Amino acid sequence: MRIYLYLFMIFIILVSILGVSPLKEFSWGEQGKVKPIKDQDKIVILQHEISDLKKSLKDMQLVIEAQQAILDELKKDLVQPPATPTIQPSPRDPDSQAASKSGLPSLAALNPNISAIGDFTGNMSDDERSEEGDRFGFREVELGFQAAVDPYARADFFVATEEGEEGEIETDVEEGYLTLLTLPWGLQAKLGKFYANFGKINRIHRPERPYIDDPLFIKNFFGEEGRLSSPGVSLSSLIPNPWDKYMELSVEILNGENESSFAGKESDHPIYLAHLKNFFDLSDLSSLELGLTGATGFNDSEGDQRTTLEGLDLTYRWRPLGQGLYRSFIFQTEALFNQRETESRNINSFGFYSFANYQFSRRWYLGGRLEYSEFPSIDIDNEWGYSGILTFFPSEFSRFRLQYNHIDRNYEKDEDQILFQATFTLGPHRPEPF
Amino acid sequence: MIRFIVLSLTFSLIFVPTIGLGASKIKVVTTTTDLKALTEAVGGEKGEVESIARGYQNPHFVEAKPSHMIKLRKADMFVKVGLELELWAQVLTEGSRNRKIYPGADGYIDASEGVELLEIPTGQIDRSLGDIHIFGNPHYWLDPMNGIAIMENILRGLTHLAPQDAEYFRKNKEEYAQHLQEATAKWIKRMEPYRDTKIVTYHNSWPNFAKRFGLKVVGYIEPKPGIPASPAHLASLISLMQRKKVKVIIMEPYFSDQAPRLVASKTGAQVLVLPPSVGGAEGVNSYIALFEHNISKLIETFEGEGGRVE
Repeated sequence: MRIYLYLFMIFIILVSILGVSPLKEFSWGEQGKVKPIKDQDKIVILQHEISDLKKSLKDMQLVIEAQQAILDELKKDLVQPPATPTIQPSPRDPDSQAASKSGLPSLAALNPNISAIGDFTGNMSDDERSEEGDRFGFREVELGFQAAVDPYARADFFVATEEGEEGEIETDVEEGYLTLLTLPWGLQAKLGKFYANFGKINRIHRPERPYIDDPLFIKNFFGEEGRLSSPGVSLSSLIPNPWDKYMELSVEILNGENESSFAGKESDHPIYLAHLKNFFDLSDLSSLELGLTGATGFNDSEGDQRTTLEGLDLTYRWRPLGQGLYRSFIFQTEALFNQRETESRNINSFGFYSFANYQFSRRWYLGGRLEYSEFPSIDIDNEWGYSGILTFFPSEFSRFRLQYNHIDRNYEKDEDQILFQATFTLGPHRPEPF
Repeated sequence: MIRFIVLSLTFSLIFVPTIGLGASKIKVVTTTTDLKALTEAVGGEKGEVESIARGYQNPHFVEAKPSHMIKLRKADMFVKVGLELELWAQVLTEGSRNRKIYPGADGYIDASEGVELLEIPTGQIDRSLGDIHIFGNPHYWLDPMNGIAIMENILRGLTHLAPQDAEYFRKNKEEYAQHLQEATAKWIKRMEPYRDTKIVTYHNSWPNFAKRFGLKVVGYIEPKPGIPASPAHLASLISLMQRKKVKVIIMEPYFSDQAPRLVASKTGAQVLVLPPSVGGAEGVNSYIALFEHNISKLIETFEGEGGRVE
């Protein structure tokens, strides 16, 4: 008996699917003035869908028959009628099914994109005095929270838990800023703490930089943290131009907290920074970016001695459109010029790096870096760096990297380093700025 | 005086071209060429459409170049596939600083709205399953009947932006939908003899296509979406294909043919490169042409295999 009931139910479902969906799909054909769709074509498509349904109906019938057989078996086995009624097929609650299909309860869908990046390193050096020593390090765990705040703005937070000098754990807000997206005249503003728009590499988070350590001039001029960053405001605009190219000017005012080039935490004089970004497509496959940066602030807390920095960055990218998954090439170079007033004299110093990275298969990259740097307040000491970098991406979300550095110093003995890095990401992470 | 003339000339050079053009045409930027083709079908001569990705490019991985932002800056409407296919799109729309195409605006169209989706994952999901799409398989445009739902979304956007042309757009849409329906019926008839043929595809791009035209996808070159094939996976795929007598491997033009060729050489199957998007192969320059090309290629290959392959 039950099998007929099942078949009847399936029949009803089929009728309702066939009866409703095509009407819904093509209903415009009837109200329009255009001639209705040829019935024949509709029939062919529907026939096809029906035969699909017929087949699944047949499959279901087989399943039902098999189940019925099992039920009959069970009934035979039971000599006495069971005290409890036989198992009733509980009709599926359509609401609960829909809820489980959508996967997420509605409030969880409002959660920001949350990501966690682990940055594990290993270090070997022939220099006994090397700060990193011959050891493993869990450089940082970076937590990212990113979402739209409201229709007018988005917010990005990056909190890093880092290993301090004494091995203790320090938590630091690396970035936390609001971006106002709907200002007049196409302006965008950032408020909060963010990586200053100085050149290219300064804005990229450490785990996402294309090498394990920071370039020498970044370390020397912006500190061991490897970045110029402090609370401040930023305003940027696209500059219309007759060539229809991307030209972005940003102006930033930041606290002068940087200790390497500027006055440090107690300073109450801000740093003023301007960056001009120009982007040109050379072809569909290659592009060139040229950036100019100027920053100025004071290097003493009284505000008597000025430091001015100029930056120049150039990036060439190549990636074939079709086989872009397997081949790419990037060449990037940045230079920094420093003019620093001190009590005795003016110091002019300089640093640069050039980096090239070639992707030779879907998951492998080979890169090299040449660099030179002087120091913010010393212009007679300098160091040259030569690096080779091999990177392996098992997937977009994990990465292993091996790097060799030779550092040639004119003030102390040379150093050779071998570095290893494993980076792993959970959750969605916005792409870095291009 | 001369200075004034020079200045005004310079200004006119800068501004006149932008004023002169586009006074009546709606500027639309789409993420993919398929959406471009469908937008052109609906918009007719009243739209000016540009696509960010090329047809032979993997739509999952498009570089978010600042030059694309400049394109979007001047757009009245932006159309995307949605379902997290274009993770690069948000950076571009925000970078364009064009409020007309921000999510929620009239000029922001997610083409997947109202489309019947396949493979919406249920239960516990994480990245051990590869690059899965949590909202369903995003390659839904490969069912020509979904093209109609996509056009419905495009029509809604265009009608919002140019209500005076609503009737024109609707007529265009209905005409194209009719062509599409006629063509689909023909394709189904032509594919009828090869119904239930088992195939292997490189990436999981073809479930909608396979469902509409009665093909059975039994395996993938990728062990999991977005994950490159390992030798162990290929070995098990080879034995699966031998067991199930699979004779055709479909791959997208933007993948390396190394693994498919290896599998083909061990199983005697044929590798068939099919474009999943308009512009992905020579002569494929409209949405209908895309299916025409793919169906013809498939039938050619099946016939080459000696009729129906079980």
